[in-house]
Amino acid sequence: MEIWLAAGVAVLLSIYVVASFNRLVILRYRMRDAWSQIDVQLKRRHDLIPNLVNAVKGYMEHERSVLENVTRAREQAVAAGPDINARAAAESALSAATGKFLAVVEAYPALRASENMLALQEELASTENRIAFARQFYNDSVLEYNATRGTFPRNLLAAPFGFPAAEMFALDDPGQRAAPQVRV
Amino acid sequence: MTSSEETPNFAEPISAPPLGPVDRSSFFEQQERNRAATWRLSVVCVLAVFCTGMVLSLILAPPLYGLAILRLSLARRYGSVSPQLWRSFQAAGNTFVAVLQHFSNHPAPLPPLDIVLYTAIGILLPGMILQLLLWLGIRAMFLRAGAGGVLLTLGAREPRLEDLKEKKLVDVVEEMAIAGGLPSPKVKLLDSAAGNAAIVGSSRQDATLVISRRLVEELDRDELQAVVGHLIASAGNGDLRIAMTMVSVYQAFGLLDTLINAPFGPHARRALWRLLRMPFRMGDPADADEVSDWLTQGLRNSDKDDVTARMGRNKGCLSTLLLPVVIFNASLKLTMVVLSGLLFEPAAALLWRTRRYLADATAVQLTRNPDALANALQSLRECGGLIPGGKWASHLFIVGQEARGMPPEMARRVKEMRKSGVQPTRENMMNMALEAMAQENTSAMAGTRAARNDETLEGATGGGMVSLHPPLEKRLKRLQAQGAHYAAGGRRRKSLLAWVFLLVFLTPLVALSLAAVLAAVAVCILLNFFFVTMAFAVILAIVRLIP
Repeated sequence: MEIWLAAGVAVLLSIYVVASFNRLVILRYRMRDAWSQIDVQLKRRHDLIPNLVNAVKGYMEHERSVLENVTRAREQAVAAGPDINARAAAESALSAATGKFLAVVEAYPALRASENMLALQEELASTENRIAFARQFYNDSVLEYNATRGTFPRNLLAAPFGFPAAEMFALDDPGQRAAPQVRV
Repeated sequence: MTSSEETPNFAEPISAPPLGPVDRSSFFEQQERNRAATWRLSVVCVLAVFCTGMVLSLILAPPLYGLAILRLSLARRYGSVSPQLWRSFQAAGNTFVAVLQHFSNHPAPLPPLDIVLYTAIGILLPGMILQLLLWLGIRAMFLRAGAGGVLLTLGAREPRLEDLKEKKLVDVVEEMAIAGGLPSPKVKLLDSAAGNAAIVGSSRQDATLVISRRLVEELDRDELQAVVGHLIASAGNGDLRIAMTMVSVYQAFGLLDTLINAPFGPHARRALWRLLRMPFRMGDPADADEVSDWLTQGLRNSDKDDVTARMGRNKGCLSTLLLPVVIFNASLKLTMVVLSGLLFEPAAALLWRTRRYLADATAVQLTRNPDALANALQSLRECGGLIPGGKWASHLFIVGQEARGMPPEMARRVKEMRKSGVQPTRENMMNMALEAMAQENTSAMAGTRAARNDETLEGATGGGMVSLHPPLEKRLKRLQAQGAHYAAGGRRRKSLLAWVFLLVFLTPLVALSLAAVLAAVAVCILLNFFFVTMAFAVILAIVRLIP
């Protein structure tokens, strides 16, 4: 009798361990996928910005510095290494620069009304949103993963199976934390 | 995320302050709660279908066993049947007769309980298995076709990317798909005057978002994002599969009805032919909706019923011969309609409502902007409506019948009030509606009302007692709990007296009508049993007489 009981408990336990392991693996894959999604969206922005600058260069002779800022920020973002913090800083500098650029555009009625500019503005706004949402999804995935691996009794399994805690994609500088206001 | 400047400024006084404190809850809590409710209601749904199926198999038992006995006695006459099988059949029949005698006026001793139990299972089992097979088959057939394909035939078109508003829509859809970590659904536009949006398809990988152009016009970017977020969340939560499973119950009942009707009329045969042809027309999701329409037509209106029509055409001898079939068919149909209407439909509607709340809470998670969804729902109250012709898909829309669209003048005024930060109260709305009625030509209003009634073709799942969409007010209240700035219109609570009145007078009434309905079903079953067994006894006697 006792043997059967012990065997039953052992079977249940091993089912739980296998299920937990698989769940953690799925969550980790989702997290990695979310991370690569951020990369895709950042890359998209990098590709978009030269077009934007070219489209408005003619109209904005007086605001050369704003455009140069955007271009420089883009170059820095492209050049930023794999370190998360350095990249986050470069990307948020780029966000700030494009935000400033859009604010300046507001002062040029002819530019603001042009069809081309409206389309570009929409494209830029959407790109900013995509980055923000990709980051949000990544952070949600990290939250779920960390919560799953950190709660008892799974936290006993997480370390031996090799599931370290993951890091959220956060912005450090409080000044950068204010999201660029993109109005369409 | 763009923060909207259109959100009302709540430093200003609001005309109707919320009564009492708002119970705050995060969208995670709301999701948790609705997921748990989904489980509970799923169990209720399964039980409801099981009960209905059990009663139906009671009705199916006499003809099934009649056929089996006929087949066996023919085989015994002209060939060989294993004596063991024949004896067990006889034993089961004897037990059944003994049980009937026990309950009739001349009490006879009840056979041993376990034998009674086996007999009961034996009577119910064939019908249950038949229904289960029908359901599994039809579900497998329709799962591939997906839900709501009919919407794509209503003139849905691709978005025009040159048009800035439609480009914005496409962008918003992709943004929300990223936010949900889901593949981006296809986008189709309907040039309809009613503002509404739906998600159709067979799974989250194969989903199409259908949205009316009116909605793209009316909503700002944040609100559009919230609406799209709701629909994508719905697909991501697996609602499409749930919808198809719920509809497949009706389709299975319809198939059973069609199979019985098939020998007697062209209508059912054509429906069966369409069903058989369906797997070869996979490129056409609208075909599936048409087929399910055909299958369930006999359930919804009796003039589409072939057996009765045949009975009406042939007077005299033949119609008497058809009587058992007619009674069998009628009792089956009545039981299906009554029991599924009483048990399954309310449970399924409640389940679907829970899924709406869940999608709302998930949309808040995706957009992190409860205000946007609250504003969008309020806009939908002003400009929303059912898309005419989408009858097999009305449940897939973000709002249903509860958003019927206000008269244009009233919608404009309500919108103005809302945009200036004042919540229109219930009394305000009522007054405005009355004014609008008085202003417009009454006959013209009646005309549009009638037209609207024509349009409100809710699907087979939609005409029930419980609406498939939760009331907008309740959804807005839950969004308020998740942080939306919405002042719930002060709702007067029913007084104690009213409750007592309801309890004292309505409860017996409801109980009585329920009892009457169940009695009718029981009488139907008995009649069916009597006539069908009589018919088979006659046939059996004729078989015996033939040398």
